[in-house]
Amino acid sequence: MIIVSEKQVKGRLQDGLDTIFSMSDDDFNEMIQRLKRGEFIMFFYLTDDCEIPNGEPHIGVESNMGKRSYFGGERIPKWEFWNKLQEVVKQKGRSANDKNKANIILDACGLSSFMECYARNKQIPLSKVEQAFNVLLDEKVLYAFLQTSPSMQDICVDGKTYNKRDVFEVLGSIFKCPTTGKFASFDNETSGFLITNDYILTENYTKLYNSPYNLDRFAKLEYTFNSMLDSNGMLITRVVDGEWKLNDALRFAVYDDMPEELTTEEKVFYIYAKLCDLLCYEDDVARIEGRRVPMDERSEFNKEYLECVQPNSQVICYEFSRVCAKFLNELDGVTAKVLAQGMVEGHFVVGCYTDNISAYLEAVNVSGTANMNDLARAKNKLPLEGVMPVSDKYRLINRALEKVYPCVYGTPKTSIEEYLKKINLQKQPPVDFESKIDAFVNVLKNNNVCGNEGALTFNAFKTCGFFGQNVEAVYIGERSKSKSGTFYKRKILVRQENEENPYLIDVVNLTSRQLDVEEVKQKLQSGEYVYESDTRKLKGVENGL
Amino acid sequence: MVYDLNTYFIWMNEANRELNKNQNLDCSQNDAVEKILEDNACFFKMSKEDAKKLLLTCGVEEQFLPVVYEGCIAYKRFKSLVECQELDVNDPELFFIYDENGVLQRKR
Repeated sequence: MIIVSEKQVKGRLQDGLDTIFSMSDDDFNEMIQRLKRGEFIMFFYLTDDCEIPNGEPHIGVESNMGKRSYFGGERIPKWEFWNKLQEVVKQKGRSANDKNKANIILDACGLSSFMECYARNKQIPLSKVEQAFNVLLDEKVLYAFLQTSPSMQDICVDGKTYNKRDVFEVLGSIFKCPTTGKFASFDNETSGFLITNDYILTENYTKLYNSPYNLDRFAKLEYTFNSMLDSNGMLITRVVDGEWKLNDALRFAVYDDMPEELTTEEKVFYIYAKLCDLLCYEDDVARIEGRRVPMDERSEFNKEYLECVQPNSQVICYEFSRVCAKFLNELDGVTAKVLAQGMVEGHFVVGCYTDNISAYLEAVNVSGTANMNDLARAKNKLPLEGVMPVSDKYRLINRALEKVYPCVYGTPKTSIEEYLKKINLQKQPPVDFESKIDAFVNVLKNNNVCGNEGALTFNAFKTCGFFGQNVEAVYIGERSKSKSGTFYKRKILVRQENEENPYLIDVVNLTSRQLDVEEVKQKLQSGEYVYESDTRKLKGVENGL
Repeated sequence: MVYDLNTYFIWMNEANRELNKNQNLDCSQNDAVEKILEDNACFFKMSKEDAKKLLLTCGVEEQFLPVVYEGCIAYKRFKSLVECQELDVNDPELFFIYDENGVLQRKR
C-alpha cells in the first residue's frame, strides 16, 4: 500500500503520518481495510520517481490501480510505523483526531485482524485460529498443554476442548521453528508486529516448541517433504502410487519374520533394513520401460518390472524407492513419498514421516563409509547410513535402528570358543545329597520328563557322577491296586555310601522323600515293595526284615 | 524317546545352576555352558581340556570324566551327528574329526 504525501517536510515517515491524519475518510477507511489484510506500507512524495508522471496526482492512499505507479521508495518496517503511532497516542497536546486515528490503525494491525486475515488466507475457520492463540495467551491453557503427554489427543480446559493438531498446525505455520533470540517470522508482514514482537507471545510459543511435543511436524515445511515441490522436485505420493502391486514373494519375505511388538518407527526401519538386505543393487544401468539405459537417463514407471521385484532382484534407486515407499505407506501412521533429486532428477530417495520423526531413506548412497550403499551394508550386517533425519526430537531413529538390526541381520552367533572363555572353574562348596536329589527332580519337572524317560535321565546323571561317588541306586516296584488287579509302580531307591536311610524317587509323580531303612525293610517284607532285579538290591536290605 | 547326550548335559547343567543359585554362586558359567551345549557337535569343536572344564561345570564328577568324555566323542556319535547333518565335516570350527578308518584325528 502506498501513502503519498505532498512534499518532504519532517521526513518520510512523519510526513506520511501527517498525511494519514489529514486524509479523507474514504482514504482512511480504505487504508484500514488494507492494513487488516496485512498489506505493508510504503511512503512516497508526489515528487518521487514514478512510471506514469502524467498520471493524476493524489495525496493519500494510492489505489491498487495506481495512477502514477511510484517506484524506488524506501520500505519502512511496520514496527517503526507502529512505534510512531504509539508515540502519537501517548503524546501530550496531540489532537483527539490524531490519537483516535492512531488507535484505529493500531487496532487494525492487532491480533484480531491478524487472525481474521490468517483464517481468510488459509481458508480455515476463524475459531480454529482463535483457539490456537488462546493456548498462547491464556496461561492456564498453556500450562495444561505443557503438562499433558505429548500425544495428539484432545485436551480439555475449563470445559473447552482443544484439538492439539489444529492448534499446532496454526501456531507452527505462523511461528515456524524458533531460533535463539529471533523468530523466523519476526519481520514477516503477514504475522504482524503486534504478534511477533510481543514478548509474552513469543516466549510462550518457544515454551511450547521446546516441550515434549514434536512441533517440527507442523513448523518445518521439509518435514512432509512438500518443500520438494518448491524446488521443482518430483513427488510420488500414496495417491498416485496405487496403480501397481507389491510382489507376493517379496511381501512374504519382508513380513514373515517381522516382530509384532515393534513401534511404528521401528516398523519403518525394519522394512527399510529388510529391503536393503533382500534386494541387490544393479550397477551402471537404469530401466526405462524395460530397456536397460545409462544411469543419467531418468527412470520411469514400469509396472511389470516393479511387480516382479522379489528377494534377490536387482534394482536401482528408482525401483528400490518405489517398492520401499509402497511398503511404508501400508503402515498406519506412516506417510512415504518417492522423491526425485539431482540435476536431472535422476536419483530417487524415499521421504518418510510419522508424527514423531521425519527422515530421508537413501538406500543407494555412495557417500557412506567405504563407499558402500545400504544394500551392500545390510548384506554385510553393517549399520545403515542412508537414513538422514529431518526431525527426530525424541531421538527415536537410532534407537529404532539398533533394535531392528538383530531382527533383520540375526543375532550374531557367538562361537564356542567365545563361550568357553567365560568358563572358569570355580571351587564349589560341598552340596548335600538331598539338595542334589531335589535339583534332579526339579529338572524333570521343568522339562516334563517322567516315567521311563525320567528313570533313564536318573541313570545318565548317576553315570556322570552328578549325585557323587559311591551312590547306590536300585529300582523297585511299589504295589498298587486297582479294579483290574494288582500292579507295581516303578520307583528308585537311592542312597550315598555310609548312609543307611535311602531316598525314594517317584519318576512318575516327580516327587522325592527320604525313607527310614526300617520302613523299607518292612515294606519289602510285606510285599508292598519288590526289587525289579534279584541282582540289584540295597546292601543290607536285601530281603526285608 | 531317546535323547542326545547333550540333552542330559543340558539338564544336568540346569540342576547344577539351581544348586549354584541356592548357594549364591555365579551362574553365568552355567549360561555359557548351556549355549555351548545347544550345538550337539560341540565336543568335536573343542579341546579335551575345554571339554573337561565344560563337563565339570555342568556337574560331572571329576573321577567320571574320562568315561563320560569318551562317550562324548565316540565314533558312533560322530557318525550319527554327520548323518543327521548336525556336524559338517568341513566346518572350520572342528577340533577333532574321525577319518575314513574311524580313527580320531586332531584338526587344529
